[in-house]
Amino acid sequence: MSAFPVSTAVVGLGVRQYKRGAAPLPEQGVLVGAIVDACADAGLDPSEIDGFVSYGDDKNEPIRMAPDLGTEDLCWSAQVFGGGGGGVAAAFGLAAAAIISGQAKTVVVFRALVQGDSGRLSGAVMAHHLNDHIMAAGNVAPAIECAMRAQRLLEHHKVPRRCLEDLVRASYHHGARNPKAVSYGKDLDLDVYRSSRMICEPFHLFDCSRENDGAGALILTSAERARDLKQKPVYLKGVAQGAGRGWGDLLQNDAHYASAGFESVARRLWAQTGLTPADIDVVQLYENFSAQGVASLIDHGFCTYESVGEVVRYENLIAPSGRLPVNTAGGNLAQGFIHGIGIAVEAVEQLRGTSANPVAGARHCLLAGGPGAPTVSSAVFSTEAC
Amino acid sequence: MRGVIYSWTRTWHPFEGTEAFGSPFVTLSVTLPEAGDIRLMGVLDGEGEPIIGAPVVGHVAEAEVYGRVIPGLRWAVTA
Repeated sequence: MSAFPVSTAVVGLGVRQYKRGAAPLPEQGVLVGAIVDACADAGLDPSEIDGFVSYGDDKNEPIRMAPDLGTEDLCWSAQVFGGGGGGVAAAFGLAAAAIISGQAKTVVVFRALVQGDSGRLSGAVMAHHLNDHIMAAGNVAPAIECAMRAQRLLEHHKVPRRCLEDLVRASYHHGARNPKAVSYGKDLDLDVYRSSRMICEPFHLFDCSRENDGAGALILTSAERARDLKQKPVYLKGVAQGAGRGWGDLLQNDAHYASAGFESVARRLWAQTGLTPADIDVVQLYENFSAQGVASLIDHGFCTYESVGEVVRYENLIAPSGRLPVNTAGGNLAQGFIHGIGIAVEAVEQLRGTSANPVAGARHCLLAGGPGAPTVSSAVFSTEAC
Repeated sequence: MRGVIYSWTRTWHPFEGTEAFGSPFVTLSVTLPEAGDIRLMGVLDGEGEPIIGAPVVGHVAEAEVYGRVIPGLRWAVTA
């Protein structure tokens, strides 16, 4: 596989996050605010944004925002297929494709979620899976779907239950120390975690991601232009999306049922970047549920079923001392959940050096999209322009 | 119809649409050795504990989901 052209960079970030049901504006208004914030962060005028990319069935058609943003010339308007968070990293691939091919210059990757407007996310995600056979088994929610796979991960593949707990603890450790996190100032007591109500086995309440209202926006432009803007550029080092053979079966006959679906995507990502898991300094991991986060680390080659108990340990997962710091803002579990856009934001914050839980000298950050989705995606962001 | 439990979950949260299943209820994924190891889903009936690898026997029944009655499989653990 040929190398990915490292010629685009994230130059602006905007996030507006609220408790679910507490957004002060309708969904599009919240999103426009986040995009304007990202432009201010970058030192760009909102009218200069000429491309828009989203994922996860976002309802905000770019042209409808053009009047609010003063869009000069809408050149690129695209969305990654799939209802879950599997497309979050792929969205950067679409944005880079537009920039590298000259179809747009300044592209915003966004996701907005105000469920009072756009409806329940879990229902929208599950609509991509449902058929009568699945529903007649009571499998009507992403939590149930993922719990089935998690049970296989624990019972058949012998992944220690403690690994799930440690990922959750690490997320809350970071969230408790991040003023922008919903869980800021609130460490998660292990007894509270273990005694929290059961949702569907093996998931307790705290194994499940939050849901927040809000919007996130990240502006991508050419590396050349990025050097003249306000912020330290964070380069897109590589990105891959899709699924390998044997994944995405409608009746859930996936060949490797307990995986997160990343095996082929990770293989292509490492090939195109020339990196290996050992080169990754910090990971931003979409965790819809704890087990899927652990499965994602396995799929990307950070560990195996045999070594997961050694690698996925609380002490190893926390910044700054751990060797594999994961979800340094708190992730979907503890920072907040606007369908995963927050983990992309933290990837950039970490490489800018502005994370609340910085990893000293971090050069490469993996962004792993929604695990277990029918199509998934991953990306590497880097401080290095080549 | 005979099979082997491939995976399972016991659902405690009252997810919308599952009211008629009772609480908790167990969802199974079942491997069918007599059909090339394809897997079908269904609900566990009876007192048997769901354990991966346990033999089960299944039949076609009905399920009520979101107030709609549809055909579905029900399984029971065999000794």
